[in-house]
Amino acid sequence: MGEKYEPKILALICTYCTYTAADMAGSMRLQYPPNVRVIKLLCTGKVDVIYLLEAFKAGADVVMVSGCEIGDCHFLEGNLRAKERVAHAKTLLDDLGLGGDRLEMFHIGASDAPKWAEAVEMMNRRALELGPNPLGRKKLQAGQTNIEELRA
Amino acid sequence: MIVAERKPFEEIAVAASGFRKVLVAGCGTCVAVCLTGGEKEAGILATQLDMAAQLGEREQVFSVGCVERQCDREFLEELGPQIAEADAVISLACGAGIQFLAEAYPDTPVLSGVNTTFIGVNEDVGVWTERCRSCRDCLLTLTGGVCPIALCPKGMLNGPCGGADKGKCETDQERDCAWSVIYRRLENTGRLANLDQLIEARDHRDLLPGRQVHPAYQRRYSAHE
Amino acid sequence: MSKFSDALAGGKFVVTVEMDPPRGPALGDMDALANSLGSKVDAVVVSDNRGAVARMSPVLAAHHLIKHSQAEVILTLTCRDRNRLALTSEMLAAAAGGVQNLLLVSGDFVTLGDQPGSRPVYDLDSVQALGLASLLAQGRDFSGELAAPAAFFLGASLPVATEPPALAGIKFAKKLKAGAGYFMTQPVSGAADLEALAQLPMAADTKIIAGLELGDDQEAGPLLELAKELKSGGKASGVHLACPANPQRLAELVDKLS
Repeated sequence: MGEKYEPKILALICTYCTYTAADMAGSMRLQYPPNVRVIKLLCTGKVDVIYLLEAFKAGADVVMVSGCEIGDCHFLEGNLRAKERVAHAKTLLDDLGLGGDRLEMFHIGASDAPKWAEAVEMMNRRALELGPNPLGRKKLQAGQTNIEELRA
Repeated sequence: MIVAERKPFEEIAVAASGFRKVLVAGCGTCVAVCLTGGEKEAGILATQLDMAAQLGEREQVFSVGCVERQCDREFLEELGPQIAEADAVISLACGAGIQFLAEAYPDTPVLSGVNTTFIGVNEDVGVWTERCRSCRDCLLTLTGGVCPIALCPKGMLNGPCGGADKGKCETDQERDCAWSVIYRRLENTGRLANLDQLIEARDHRDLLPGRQVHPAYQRRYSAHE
Repeated sequence: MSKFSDALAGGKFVVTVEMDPPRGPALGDMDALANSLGSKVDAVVVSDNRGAVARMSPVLAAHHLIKHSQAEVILTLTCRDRNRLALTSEMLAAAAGGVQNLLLVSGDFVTLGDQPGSRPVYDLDSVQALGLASLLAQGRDFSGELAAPAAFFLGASLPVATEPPALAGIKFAKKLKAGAGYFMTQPVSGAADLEALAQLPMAADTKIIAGLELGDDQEAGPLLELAKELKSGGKASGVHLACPANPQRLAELVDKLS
């Protein structure tokens, strides 16, 4: 490969809880890996298996989904659905040989900035252990999503 | 409804590996409701296959299509333009839909992406259970709306077998004995006398391939017209 | 009728034992046990792929025992492995070889055996199979006339743990009507297991033989006590002894019972 491997971490997070925690982590000046790309959602219940697969297809090395603590979802059970879908998507990644470990579900409350920083840290370590997603290192074909687009 | 489950990914990927342009065709009725073969699941499978092809460095292109019902000719016609572009189709319909698709497009290889499991009901989110074996001679009036053919592994027609154990089945301690359920249901509805009736041996000509014509259309399909 | 039916009709407390046909092609494998037990018990019940594990045809095994031992034979036929055509032909074959007693049961489901993917048949249930045997006694099958009748003393099984207990009565009544002359219960662990059956109205004048099963590592004592209790208390018309893991132990049980 030659070039230095800096993991691409995609985080799909809920605006009511984890996004607030991430915001607070900033104001608290907590240090965590800067190579995480955040997509804010109204609820992790919006996360679909296809999004997760597309993220890896586009080259994400690891993907984290983070919603409210169990019982605290603003839409009652969006985070529970996300949890089940993430578990299912892990099996689809296992099918492909990419490995379900590249994907993880978290529950991080709005006031829990340190937990967010730890979660990103953990996923970064995991991405380094697992090595690059081979799909991300292939030449992107026309019509394929680029991770940079997701970031914008 | 008809319930189906997706085949193991490996099996589908291997079957499709010899084709360059592959259409994944969903069906918008039963298999969509059981979260196995609708438009969304067709998209997931196509994406997964696409990723596997890239990982395996195979030159393959996957597209997605979905029609209301693959068990109906007029809906199958909608797939025509997409099938014309494809080297093969993976159908996510039930076994009936897959066959009708293959019949409608006999020159295109049609691969099965699901295993059809049973005629059943949606018990709860994500859970389906079998209820009917389409035996062509319904007993449910007599048996309190509980089918001993579908729900008793032995299809016992005149009461529980010797393996019945405190209301559970000898094949699985979690499975209710169908005859215990039948008894309770008939007891609740004051029809226990139904159980006194001896049920004769079944006519197993239900194993001959079925065909039925609605009475209103008998003339149209009769041999003489 | 058969010696076995005479014994029951005469009010004798009968003792029967279970014998599996060999899991191999040698009929002689049954001889030692048949010779040691045959004359001491009221009948040897030849099992039919017991536990859904394949063994030699019980019809052939029954013929062998009739020819080469003193044993009175009860032939078990399950509905699991045969459709109505095969049941008819096996019953005719049984009659041809001198079998006089049948035990018609549904049979353990195939998933309880060693080839769980086998196709189970259950074309008939046990009630309908009894009905078929009764037709054979009249010289007919489900379709029409046979060359000659084939009559048997017909037995059926009884569950001891249905929920609710009255459920057992449904099939019990149908089996009586279909021609069952005696009943064998599923294995019981105590006299209490038979109480629910005894309370069913049709139990009063019916010959019910209690199934007793001995595990290989189990002491014979308690089982013998139970058998004696059933005999002295008149709680059963007899006992059927089985020790599937080690049938040699049956001899010891039978000796101590008589």
